[in-house]
Amino acid sequence: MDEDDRARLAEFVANRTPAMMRVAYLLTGDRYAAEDLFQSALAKTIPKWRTLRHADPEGYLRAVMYGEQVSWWRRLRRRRETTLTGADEAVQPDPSAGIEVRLAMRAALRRLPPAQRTVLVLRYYEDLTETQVADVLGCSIGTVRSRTHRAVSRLRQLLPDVELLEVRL
Amino acid sequence: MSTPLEDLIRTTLSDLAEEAPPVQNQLIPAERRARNRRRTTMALGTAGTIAAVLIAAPFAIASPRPAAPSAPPSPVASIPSGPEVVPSPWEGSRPPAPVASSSTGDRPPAPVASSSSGGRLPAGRPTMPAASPDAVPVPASPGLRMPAASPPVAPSPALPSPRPSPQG
Repeated sequence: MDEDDRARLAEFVANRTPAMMRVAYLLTGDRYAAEDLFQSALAKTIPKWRTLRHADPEGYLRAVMYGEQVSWWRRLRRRRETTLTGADEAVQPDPSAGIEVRLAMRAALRRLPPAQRTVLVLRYYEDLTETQVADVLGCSIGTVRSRTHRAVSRLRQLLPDVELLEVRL
Repeated sequence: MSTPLEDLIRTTLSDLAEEAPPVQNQLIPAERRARNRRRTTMALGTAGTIAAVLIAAPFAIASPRPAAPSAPPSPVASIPSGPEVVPSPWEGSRPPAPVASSSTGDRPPAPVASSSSGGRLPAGRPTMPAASPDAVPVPASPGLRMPAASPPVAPSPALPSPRPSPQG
């Protein structure tokens, strides 16, 4: 990689890191796991930078990040690190209304499996259609629909009184 | 058409995204990871190649050679090649025509095979005519055995000539 390529890569990373870190944080729910996920995706993107620099490097980076989040190897490593994560999440008191609803939903989102959480992030945070989600994840639309349905059902199970909380919202 | 639960999911995700920790300078650690990935990939590829060679080499050595089919013709063809050297002293008494015809004219492939097998069996094979020790006492027989040395054609016609000599 020559100097020009490296300068463009550094500029891209500096510009897009905040947005990508937000997505990584939503996917993982943990600061250090988010950093690890973003660096892993970036490490896979760097070797292909020459071919991507004129195309859509951010789309590729996002796709790698989503794929990495649901990969089997990463799930194994996450299982080993389970005891280390989770205790670092200090709940910040929020004076705004509906704090208990959001805290409950946040905890429920963290308990979802990575694949279901990824689908929710793509559908409700990135506002992608089911077809676009299927393209990004490399699966069928039916898989996206079933994962979304299972995730929402799981959230309803984890938040049995969510209907009452929604009324208060 | 979004349900209240979906709105709640959206709101919660947006709140969570705003809480993402600010990080800086992710390029250097990412480049280090990319280097490690490349190094690991190359090391694993090299190790896999070496392992494949080490595993396949014994099988390749132990497998039968394809040269086996060429081995059977060589003894047959080597027999005529041997007498070719011997008959030269008898060319004076006997007409050289049969010898020349048997070595070259009758079967062209024989000289070719003999030349190839001659290298493989240098000096031991020419003594193969000893396979007919009967004819050894009669010096004329080796020369005439040239055609006899080719068993498929006519081994016996060459022998009749020795027979008359002991009788006479």
